[in-house]
Amino acid sequence: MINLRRYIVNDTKPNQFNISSNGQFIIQRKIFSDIYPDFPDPITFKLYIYLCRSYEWRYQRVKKAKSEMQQDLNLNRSQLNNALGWLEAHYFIERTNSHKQQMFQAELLTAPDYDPYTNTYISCKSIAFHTGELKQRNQGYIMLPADAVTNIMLENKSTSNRIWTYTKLKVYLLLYGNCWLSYFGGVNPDSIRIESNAIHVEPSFYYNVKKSEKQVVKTIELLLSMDLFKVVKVGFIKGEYIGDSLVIPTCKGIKEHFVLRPYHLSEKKVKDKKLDNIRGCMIL
Amino acid sequence: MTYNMIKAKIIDESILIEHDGGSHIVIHDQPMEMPHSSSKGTERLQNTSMMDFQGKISMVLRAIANQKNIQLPLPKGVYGVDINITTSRSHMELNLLDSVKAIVDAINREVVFNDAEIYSLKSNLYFTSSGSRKRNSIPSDSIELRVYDHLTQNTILQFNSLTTYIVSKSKPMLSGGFDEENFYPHIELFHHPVRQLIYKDGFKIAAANEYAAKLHFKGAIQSKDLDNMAKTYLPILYGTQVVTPHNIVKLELLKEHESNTTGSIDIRVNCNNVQL
Repeated sequence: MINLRRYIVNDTKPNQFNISSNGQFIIQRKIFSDIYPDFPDPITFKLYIYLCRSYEWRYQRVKKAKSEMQQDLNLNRSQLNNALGWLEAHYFIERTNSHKQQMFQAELLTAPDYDPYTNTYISCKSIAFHTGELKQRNQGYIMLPADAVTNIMLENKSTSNRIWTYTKLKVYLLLYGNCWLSYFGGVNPDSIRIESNAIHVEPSFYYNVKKSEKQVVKTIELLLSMDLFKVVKVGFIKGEYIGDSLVIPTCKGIKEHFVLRPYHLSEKKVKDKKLDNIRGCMIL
Repeated sequence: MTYNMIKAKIIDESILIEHDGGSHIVIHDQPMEMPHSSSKGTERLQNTSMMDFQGKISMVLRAIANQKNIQLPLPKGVYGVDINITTSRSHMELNLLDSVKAIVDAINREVVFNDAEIYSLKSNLYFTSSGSRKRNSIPSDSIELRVYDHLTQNTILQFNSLTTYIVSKSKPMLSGGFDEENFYPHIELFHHPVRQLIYKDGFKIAAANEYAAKLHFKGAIQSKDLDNMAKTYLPILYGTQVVTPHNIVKLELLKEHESNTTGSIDIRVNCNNVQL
């Protein structure tokens, strides 16, 4: 049992979080589920996350030389080709370079559907990979600040593979998927409930990771020990987040919760007008 | 069986209510539904776990349809949906109507263009022994679903025993302080006076562990959703706390569009003694 007290934010000084201005990227939630299979190996999974982060919305393309990908992820050419080939054969990406000599270019497709009865991936190419369309079509996504996912987490080196296991990366990304600053000041306390010395995880979360609650709690503790999350005491009035407990004046009707707040926060999210009335009461 | 008749005045409207004293209520009125909340600048956040769950159901149905070369959404029509749920969770943890609502939301738009095209919605909730329930890494809810043509009864899409974790429908979180926006007193509280009148008139549901409820709606209801109408009228049964959202294990919802009639809401409730 770890002592959560160590990770609780206990002073109001500024710059305790990284407000990232390096842009955001999205990953579809559907790839993390009890129904959807895992990628065939961590290399393919990490490459896919890397491609999501590298996606250039302006061109709707990933434009990256294979040599750069190899270097960033520490893959040899055949490892890279194998993983890219799998992603293409299963409708996650589509090559868009007109001839082989050209630099690698690919379009990210809306992640394929999966039929658990026939174990088949079905292309979702007809659903535009575009946030508005994804929302319309029950295709949820997680928005992450680009700083939150570094090459060190994704590269194929023994230390990285040991520290950034498939499970840990899934838990890390899914925590972002449950984080709403303007509603909770961090990760939804209904999803991850933090008590003075214990963490509880809602079943749908750990089933989506395909692990037990115990395993997910252990992973969250590791993420805390890596300073990727802090524990913040926040106040709610009538179910609505009003600010961090250390900053807001005590008043009647306040309910307090501990929430996980990611260290890397996207500037766009922090500056969102939804937070205008609350931002002054947040430790950032 | 003799029926008692009550002339009720509910919100300036006189309505005729009939009941048999213990298991059957007929309200002669146009069925109402909970309006779909329209946002007026209020920020809302749907429960993300529920959205995830719906995304999974939509995905499996899309995938099955694709392999059978069925174009989705289905052409405008009259459809029926059967849902059977098996769970090892407790009655308090999972209730049938809210689970069904979440599943119907997954069908809406992706499978049928509009859920008002669903004219029959039959569902069952089965509890398996939860004796030594292990909280491991694999969920243990199971869903069986069938979408069919209501006129011919022909199956269009179906799946059996899909193992997953059901996250039932819950109200969205609102920010901006407009709790009231989700509250429609004339509809949400419609059941109160009806309830008081019939219970005062001697309506009494026999005590049982589990119930089966059947709601049949008639009227100018082409555009109304079955699950929303059920949400409006089921609370009439909750009057004496004998029937609760947690012990209804069989729910049959049916609608019939009749444009030039008074309309009616026909509610039947019975002890469900099929399960031992």
